[in-house]
Amino acid sequence: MAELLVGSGEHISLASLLQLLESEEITGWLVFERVARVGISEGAVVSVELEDHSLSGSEALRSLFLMPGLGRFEVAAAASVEGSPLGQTMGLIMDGLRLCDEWTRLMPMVLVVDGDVPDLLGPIASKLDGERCVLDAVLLAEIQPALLIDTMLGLLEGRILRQVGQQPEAPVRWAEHLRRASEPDPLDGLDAFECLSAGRRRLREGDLSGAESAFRRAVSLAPEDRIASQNLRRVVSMRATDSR
Amino acid sequence: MRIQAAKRLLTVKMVYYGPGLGGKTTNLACLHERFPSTQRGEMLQLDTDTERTLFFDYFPMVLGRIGGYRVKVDFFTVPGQSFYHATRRAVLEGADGIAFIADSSPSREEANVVSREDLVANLAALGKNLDDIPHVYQWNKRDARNALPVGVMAAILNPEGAPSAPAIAIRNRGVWETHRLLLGKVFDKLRESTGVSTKPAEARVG
Repeated sequence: MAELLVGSGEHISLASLLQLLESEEITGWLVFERVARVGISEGAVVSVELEDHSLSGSEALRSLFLMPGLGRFEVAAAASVEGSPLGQTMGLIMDGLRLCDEWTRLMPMVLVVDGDVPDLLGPIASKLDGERCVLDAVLLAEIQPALLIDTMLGLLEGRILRQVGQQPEAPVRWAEHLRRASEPDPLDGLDAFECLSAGRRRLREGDLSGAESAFRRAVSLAPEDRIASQNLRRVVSMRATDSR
Repeated sequence: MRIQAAKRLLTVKMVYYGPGLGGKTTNLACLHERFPSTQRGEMLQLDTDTERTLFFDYFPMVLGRIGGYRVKVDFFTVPGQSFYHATRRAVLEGADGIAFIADSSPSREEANVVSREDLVANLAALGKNLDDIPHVYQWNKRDARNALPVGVMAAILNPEGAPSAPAIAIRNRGVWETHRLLLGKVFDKLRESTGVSTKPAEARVG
C-alpha cells in the first residue's frame, strides 16, 4: 500500500480529512494510530473499526467525531477496499458535527429518571441519580456516548429524563479523559504476571478502573490463572458497590 | 474555494446563515428547485430526533465554466439553534460567500442580532473578518405582521452597507435576487484575486 498522507489529528479535523478524501476519490485506508481504521472506496467511507473492536460501521464513525485531536493518522492507497458506502460523506460529517454539539450540551447535565427507559440506556440509568452529571455516568458505565446521545435527547424531550442541575466543568474533564485515553497503554507489552502486579498496585492506589483494566488484561493473557480471575471478580464487585 | 487542477474543477462554498426558523432552508429549497436537474445534485437534509427544524441542508450545483474550469457551487445552511455552535463554525470554515437570512418579524429582532454576532464571532475564531468575505443580507418574511422596516433592519444588521434584498422566501420572492447578489460578490472577489475574467456560463433556469 502506498502512503499518501501522514499528519496529526491535532492539525486537521476528521471532517476536513473525509472531505479531502472524497474530493480526490481516494481508495485506501485512513488509520488513526491506536484508535481506528477507516476504509475508503472512491472517496466514500465504507468501513470503520475501532482498534478496541468495541464499535464498527456508522456507530464507530460517530464515536470518532466525539474524540477531538485524534492523534497521528496515515492515509494509504489500496487497489480496492470492500464495502458499501455508509452514507453520503457530507451527511456523515454533518451528523458527526451535530453529535459533538449535542454531547457538549448533554454531558454537564445532572439528570434524574422519571419513567421506563429503553434497554440501551440500562447501563447508565441507575447512575443518573440527580448528583452525577451525564459525563460521569457514561465514564462509570464505560459506554461510548455516541450510542446514547439521540436516545437521551428523545427521553429529555419526552420528560422521562429530567434535568435537575448542571456541572459546567464537564467538558474540561471530558477533554482530559480523552487526552489520557490517547496516551500509550502502559500495559502494552507486559506479560500476565506483570499485568497482575500492575492491577494490584492500582488497587492499592484506589484506581479501581485502572485495576480492572490490568486484571482483565492478565486474564486475557492467562485465562487459567485463578489469582488473576479472583482479583478481577473482586475489583468488579468493588466498582459495582462503589457506583451504587 | 478549492481548485482541483487535475479535474479542472473549481469549487465554491456558499453558506446561508441566520437565526433559527428564519427561512434558510426555504431559500435553499427554492434554489434547488429552480436549477435544472441535470446541473444540480440531490438536496441532502438532516433532521434531528427532537427538533422541529432541520439541522442542516446541502446541495451541490454545477454552474458553468471559468477559464477552462468547471465551477461547482456547494450550498449549505447552518443550524439555527444556539447550542449547535461548533457545527456552525465548521460549516463556515472555507466559506467563499455568506447570505445572512434575517427574519423581519418584530419578535425575531433580537434573534437576528444574536445570530449576526455569532457569525462575526465564529469568523473571528477562524481568523476571518466579515468584511473580507463576500456577503449579502436578505430581509426575509416581508409579509410578517408589522414587519420591521427594511431601513431599521439594515441600520442594525448591515452597518457595512453590504448588498441586500427583501424577500418572502416561502413564496419564492427575493430568493433568486439574493443568490444573484451573492454570486456577483463572490465572482468579483475571484476576479480581484486571480485576474481571471469571471463570467460563468450560468445554468439556464426556469
